[in-house]
Amino acid sequence: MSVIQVNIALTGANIMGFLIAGLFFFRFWRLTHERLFAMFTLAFCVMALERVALLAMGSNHEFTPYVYFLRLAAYGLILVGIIDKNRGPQR
Amino acid sequence: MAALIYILCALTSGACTVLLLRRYWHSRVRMLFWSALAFLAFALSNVLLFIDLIVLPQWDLTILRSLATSSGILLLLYGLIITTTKP
Amino acid sequence: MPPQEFLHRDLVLFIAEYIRSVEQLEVLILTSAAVPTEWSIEAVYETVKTNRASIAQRLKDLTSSGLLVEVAGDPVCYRFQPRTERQRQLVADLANAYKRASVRVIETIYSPATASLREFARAFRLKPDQPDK
Repeated sequence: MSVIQVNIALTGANIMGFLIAGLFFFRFWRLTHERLFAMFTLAFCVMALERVALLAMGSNHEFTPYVYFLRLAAYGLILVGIIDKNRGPQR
Repeated sequence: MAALIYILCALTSGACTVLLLRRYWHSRVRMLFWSALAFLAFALSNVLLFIDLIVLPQWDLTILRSLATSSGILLLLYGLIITTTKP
Repeated sequence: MPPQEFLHRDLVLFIAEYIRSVEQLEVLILTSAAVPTEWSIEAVYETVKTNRASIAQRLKDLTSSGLLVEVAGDPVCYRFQPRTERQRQLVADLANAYKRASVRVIETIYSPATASLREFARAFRLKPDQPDK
């Protein structure tokens, strides 16, 4: 197996893993109505999306660096969730 | 600019790790432990991304990064699964 | 007092940790109510009326959790003797919560995620002494 094939396989597994984690957090959000979990749900979905975009583009495409903005967005969502958690008494 | 993104991602994962570990230290809820480790692995994968693209561009760390991410996902899923099932 | 006050966070964690079923809950509450009396399997069965074998198993489980102690004799008896005063208080709170809001308690027993999820969300409170939302 070439390096590229191994990487594609791992990336595929990671995409699935992120989506499953997103599903768990989605369920937690429905159970607890905790907005933080909604943010984690979105964050993991965006992480999955980022990996899909990276796969679609390959590592030498000129737009590849911009794909990492998606990762930034994912972590940004988590930060927004944390900030929201610490701000007011609302759920 | 790109470097800033990678560092920010690593720092956010690191912050999640710290917050989860802090809570774990108080409450001993196992899910927090596994989640904390997961975010540590994600932080590692972001650090490796920084190293791969900026510090050592002549090397290809892609598989290592993917493995770090996979480890994080496995740790996270383990924690999430034990949370939602009772022994 | 609204039900959320009966079922405070430490109590939810206690349930997640120690209580697997309603039967176990009732066995625990029964054996804790008449301290320091000792309870045999038969005596517990008289009230809880499920079946003797599962009651015996619940008593063993509670003993290995450290909430009851086994008293040797014929028949074997069990006495409520938690390791800490905090546990004693939590069991009293639990009995109270079960009396006032039994449905909520039962829901909490059978949703294993509740305690862990609260802790996960709570982890992201930067100031630990903030009141829980």
